[in-house]
Amino acid sequence: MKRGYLELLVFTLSSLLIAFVVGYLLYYEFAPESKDPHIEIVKVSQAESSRPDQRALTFVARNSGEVSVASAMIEFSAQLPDGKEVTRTVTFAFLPKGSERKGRVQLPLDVVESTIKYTVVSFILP
Amino acid sequence: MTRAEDQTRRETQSQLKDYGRGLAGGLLFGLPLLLTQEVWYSGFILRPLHIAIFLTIHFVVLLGLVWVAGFKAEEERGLGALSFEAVETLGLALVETAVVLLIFGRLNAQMAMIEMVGKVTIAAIPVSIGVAIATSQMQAEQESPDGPGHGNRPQSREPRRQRTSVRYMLVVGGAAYMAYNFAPVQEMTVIALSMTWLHQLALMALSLAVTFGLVFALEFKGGTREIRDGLLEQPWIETFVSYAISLVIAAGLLFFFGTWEPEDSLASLVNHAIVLGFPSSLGAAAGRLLL
Repeated sequence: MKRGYLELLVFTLSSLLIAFVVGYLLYYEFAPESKDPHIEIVKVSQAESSRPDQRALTFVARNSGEVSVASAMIEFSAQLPDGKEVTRTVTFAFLPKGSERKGRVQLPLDVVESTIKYTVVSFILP
Repeated sequence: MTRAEDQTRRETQSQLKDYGRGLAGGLLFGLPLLLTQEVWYSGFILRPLHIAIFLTIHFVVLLGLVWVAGFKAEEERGLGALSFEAVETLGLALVETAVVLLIFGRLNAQMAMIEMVGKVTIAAIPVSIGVAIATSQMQAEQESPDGPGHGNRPQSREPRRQRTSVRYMLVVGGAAYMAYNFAPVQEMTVIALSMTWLHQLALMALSLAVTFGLVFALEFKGGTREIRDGLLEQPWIETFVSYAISLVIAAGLLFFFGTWEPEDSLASLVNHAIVLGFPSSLGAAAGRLLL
């Protein structure tokens, strides 16, 4: 059957796309890399707070490992001038492998900035 | 404009219409899953190898659907032409899915390539089924000597549709499409866990009764009017075999989406498969009616 230029173009592009998809999936499956998740906070910055007595922080959590995780809980803690510690937690439903997700947390305005810490508390391997 | 140029222009217009119908069908059939959260998650939770294997199996199903229906207005086609159209179908579905997910903000620069590839591939499966059967569902009504009710399909495909192999191909396609819509969602597990053996028996009976009624008893358009001699064409046998196929497809999809894993009990698989087997068997019946 004789094919028009349009059909040949669509077929060629489709073939390339399918080959890329299958090839990439297989490459990713068999690439000799670590298969553990690795979650880190790569960026923290000040943001405008919705309350005058609070300070807001936005952050970017990255899973640079090779496994997606679910229910990734990140804890922010800081000390008040009187030495008391305050904590806030943010939970991401999913942190896919190799991807980033943005989050936001609010802390009391008077926390000592140098004591702000963040850590990945827990996650689930789905 | 010469006659040859005019002919080329007409062919191009006709091909553009074919592609347009295919894309419209893909959107119509694929949209529910394009907007389903579990499908987006499946794209990065599932193992890439499983997605690749599933895509390969799906391509074989797609070949069958293109043979039965297809989005092009062509009539008789050999295996080469069918493969050509199946590749185009899958390619169109992948591009359409990526564009829709991009517009909905489900693809962005923060995502890893593997997340985007997985998500688009999983969501493109039902879209490709829609592209494949677009013509039989949405092509303009044609004059038919058989009278009303036969006009939607190219006439030369009508006898083919009555073949046993084609009817079972439609069972597979319909069951796979419908089960795929429900397999990833958590509600399947919620229902399966809350059912007793009495509920399960009742659901199996309901699945068989509804699909028998749809295809054989209620005289829907496209239902079987002529009962043939073949064993697999006897109404109750076809109903039971179709239901068995629906259950197998449901079980396969439950495994694929990770709802059931080999470490789980066999009883758990049976519970889930009976629940998913209901929409799956309805899809199998609808496939035989619609195309």
